Amino acid sequence: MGRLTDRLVGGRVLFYLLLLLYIAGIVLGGRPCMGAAALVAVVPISLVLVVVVESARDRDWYTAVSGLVMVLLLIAVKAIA
Amino acid sequence: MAGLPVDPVPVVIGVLAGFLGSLLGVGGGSVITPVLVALGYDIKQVIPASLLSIVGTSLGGLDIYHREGLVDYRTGIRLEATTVLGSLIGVHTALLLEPRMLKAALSLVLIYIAASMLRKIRQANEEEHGSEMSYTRRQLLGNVAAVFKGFMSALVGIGGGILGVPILHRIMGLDMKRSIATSKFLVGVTAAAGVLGYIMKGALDPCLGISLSLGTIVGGIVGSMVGVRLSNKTSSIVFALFLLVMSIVIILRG
Repeated sequence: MGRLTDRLVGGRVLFYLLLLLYIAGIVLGGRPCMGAAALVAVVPISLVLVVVVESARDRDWYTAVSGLVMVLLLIAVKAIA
Repeated sequence: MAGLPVDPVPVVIGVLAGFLGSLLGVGGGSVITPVLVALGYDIKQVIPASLLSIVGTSLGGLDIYHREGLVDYRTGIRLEATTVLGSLIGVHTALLLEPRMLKAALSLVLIYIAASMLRKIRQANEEEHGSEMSYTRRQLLGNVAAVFKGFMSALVGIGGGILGVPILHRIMGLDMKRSIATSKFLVGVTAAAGVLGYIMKGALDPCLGISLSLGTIVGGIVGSMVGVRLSNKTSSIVFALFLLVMSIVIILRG
C-alpha cells in the first residue's frame, strides 16, 4: 500500500494513538471513556478512507468506489438498525 | 476519579479472544459473548462491548501483519462492500427463513470448507511465501460469495471472519496468512460501524468495552506475533480445525 497507510499502520502511529486513548479512557472513566471508545471505533473506518484516497490516486476506481460505498452503507445500516 | 473502571475478568477473556481472533482472522465475538453471558453479564451490555473489543482484536498487532506485507487492503475492501449488501438482504429476509435449517446449512458449508482445506494440504505442499497480491482475480465469484457471507452473518449471527478467510483464500487466491491478516483488518471495520451505531443510541457500556478491548489488543498483538511465524500450511490446518469446532458448536446450539 501507499505511504499514508504505511504511516498510519506500519509506523506504529496507530498503536501509540490507541494506547493513549485507552489510558485516557481508563484514567478518566465515565463520558471521556465513551469518547475514547468512539475514537477507537473511528480508527478502522479512517483506515478504509485512507485506502480509498490512495486507490483513487492510483486510479483504482473499483477499490475507491467500493470503499466509499462500504463505509456509507455500514454507517447507514448500523445507525438505522 | 472513582477508581479504575477496569474489570479484570473481561480483560482476561479479551486476551484469549484477541489471541485466537488474531491468529485465525476472526473477531473473537464467538468466544467473548457466550463466556460473559455464562458469567452473568447482561447480554445487552455484552454485545456492544464485544463489538468494541473486536475492533481491539483487529487493530492489536495489525502493524505486525502490515509490515510483513500480509494485509491486502484493496482485495478486502472490494469484497466487503458486497458483504454489506448481503447483510441488508439477510436482515430483511430473517423472518421468512427457518433459523435451524440455516444453521444446519452453515455447519455443512463449514465442514465442507474445512475438509477441502485439509484435502488440499494433503495433495500438495502450499507455497511457503505466498502468491503475488491479486486485486482482480475471480472478483465476480468473490463478490457473490461475499454477499452470501453478509447474508449468513446477518441471519445466523456468526462473525465475518469464519466465512471471510475461506473466501479470500479459496476464491480470491490469497495465501492463508494473507487471508487471515486481511480478514483481521476487515472484521474491525465492520465492528467499528456497529460500535458507532451503539454509541449513537447510548447503548455501549464503555468501561466493559474498554476492559475487554485492553485484553483483545494485548491478545491481538501476541496472536499476530505468533501468526507471522506460522507457515501457510500450519495456518491452514489450525483454521480448518477451528472451522470444524465452530460447525459442531453451531449444531449443538441448535
